Amino acid sequence: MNRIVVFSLWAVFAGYSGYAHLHPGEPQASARMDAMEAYGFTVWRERNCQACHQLYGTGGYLGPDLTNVTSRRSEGHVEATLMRGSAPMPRFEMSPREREGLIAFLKYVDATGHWPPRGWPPPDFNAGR
Amino acid sequence: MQPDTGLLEAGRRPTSTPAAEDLRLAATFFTAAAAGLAIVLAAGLFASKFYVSRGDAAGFMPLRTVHASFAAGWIVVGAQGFVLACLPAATGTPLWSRKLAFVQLGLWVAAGASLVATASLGLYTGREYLNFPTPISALVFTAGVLMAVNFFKTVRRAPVYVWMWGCGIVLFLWTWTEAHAWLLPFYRHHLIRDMTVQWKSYGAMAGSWNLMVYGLAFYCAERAGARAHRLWTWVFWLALANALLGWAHHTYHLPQAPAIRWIAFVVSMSEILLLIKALRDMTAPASPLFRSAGFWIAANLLLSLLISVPRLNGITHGTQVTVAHSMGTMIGINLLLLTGVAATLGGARVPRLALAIFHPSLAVFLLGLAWMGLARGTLQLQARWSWLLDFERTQIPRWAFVGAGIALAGAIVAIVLPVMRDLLGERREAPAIVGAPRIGFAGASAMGLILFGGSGMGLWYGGRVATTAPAGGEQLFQQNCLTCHGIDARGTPDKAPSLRKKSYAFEEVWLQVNRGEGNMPSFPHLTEADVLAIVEYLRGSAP
Repeated sequence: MNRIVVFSLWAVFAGYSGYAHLHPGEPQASARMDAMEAYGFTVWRERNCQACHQLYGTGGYLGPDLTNVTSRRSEGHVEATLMRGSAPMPRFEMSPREREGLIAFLKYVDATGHWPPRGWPPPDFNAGR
Repeated sequence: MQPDTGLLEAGRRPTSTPAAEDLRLAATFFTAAAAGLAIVLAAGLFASKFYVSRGDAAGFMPLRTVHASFAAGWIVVGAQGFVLACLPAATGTPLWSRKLAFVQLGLWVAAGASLVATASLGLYTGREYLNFPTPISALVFTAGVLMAVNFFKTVRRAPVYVWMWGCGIVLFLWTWTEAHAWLLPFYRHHLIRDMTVQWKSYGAMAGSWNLMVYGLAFYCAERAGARAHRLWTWVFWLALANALLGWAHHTYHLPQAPAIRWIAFVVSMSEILLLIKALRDMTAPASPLFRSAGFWIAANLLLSLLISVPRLNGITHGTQVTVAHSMGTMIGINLLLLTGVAATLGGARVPRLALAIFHPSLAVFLLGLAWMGLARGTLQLQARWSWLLDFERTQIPRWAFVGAGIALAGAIVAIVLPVMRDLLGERREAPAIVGAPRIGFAGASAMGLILFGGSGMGLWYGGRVATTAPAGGEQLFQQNCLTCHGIDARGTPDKAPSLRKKSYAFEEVWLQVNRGEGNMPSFPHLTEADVLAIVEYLRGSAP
């Protein structure tokens, strides 16, 4: 009995894993990165951005979530922040190409979806303040 | 369906004690694991500075990498060692190769040393949690393969906890591989696929070491005289199902396939059954470490159930509440259970005073994180989050978190050291070692009490601050200007000047905001009315 349950669970897991790998996203989220965006993602990793920042809420919590930062802020603002840092953010010595790639990547992320998700908070959430 | 003879037999057969050479193996692994734990504590203590300091956060990166990697690594190393050491006694078969086990440990040590070296050189992959160069991943994977070879070559008959160990070993290799899927462009060039698989692997990987650690706890319970119970098998199945299928509550908010969300929700809610089991266990007689772990298992299950409810997840996801969840399970459950296994095998008496400090410190530590998280989550949902606003509003939980963390680190050292010493077999006279720690404990417990009082006051104070709502110009200022110009426009050294003067002309500010100047970027999304409101606010708040 134990054997049957355990091996069935593993079989379900294998199938489910395949599904998660191949059908991960809603339609707007299914775009592949172009070369510049992929380069920007490399810069994101090389500069260790996730240590302080989040995408879709996962990452470190010293800095803001950057999922939709290119909608919230102008491109010049994002670039200026990358150049000079802010109160706790270090001044990274980035090349113009690195900044360009990073901004392209952030725009790509922005187009995949929203964080926090739409419909949350409920409309009356801010009513009390 | 074939009858499960292994399980039934385990119920009747009294489990034998591991032989002396197996205990030596356990002691060697546990010593290495404890060295890793010391690195976790040191890196954590240094990193906590960035929770309460305004300084440049560059130093946070290597510390976070080392802390997070070793926090999971020491648990896995300890669990692997104890599983190998207990396996011969549990199955009645000698270990297939003891030498292989030491090679396995050597690989772990090499991986740990390389990680410290590469992190201090600033070499990262930039991945959350597995933020180290890929060759180190290969060392860990190879150690896992050696573990699997040794394990499956030894196992002939299998009581339920041996099944748990086996599934944990296989799941570790599976998830470790999956966590590196991003090396392939198929994943790396598709953010949502990448993040889905990344969090799938992290969530299930935690399940892999939990299976090993819980299995060890069952083994120790049986040695202590408990009879293997049918219920254990059900707990195993439920835990395995959760490890394999429950990971996606980490990623509710990704625009991922809706089916994944629903499966995660349903499986996560099945943890209620585990919660009932944990509550039952808390009342059962057991060693103090296991009984304490029972309490934290219940507390953490309750928290993880709450944050798996999508509505609540919406406010806690992307905040330190999730850190409270992961640190609560790593410290409250895994550390206590693993140390409990070491204490059972080595016959150590756990210092009660250290446990008495451990519990309140961990509670304050986790409550501090949860409070920071709720403050952050609320600000995020109102689209008002900014670093400085968050920082200023959560001073009390931040200091409580850091203070409790220091007390907690002391308590952990005081718990682990005697346990490790007894496992290594060097028994010394009691008074020589008890004297100095006692004084430390007294100091630390006083600190714990102060922190408790402080956080109570903090709750009252925090509640008041949260209800004083800013509006209009103040709110616009907080959203747009506060990060650089500071709370109440007092300025930030070397970044931006103070704006506290009465004589602002609207045109002056309007031009500055639109053009940007020097260090300051432009803010083209602000309308004239917005800027006017900010100017009014600045005039009103000037001294």
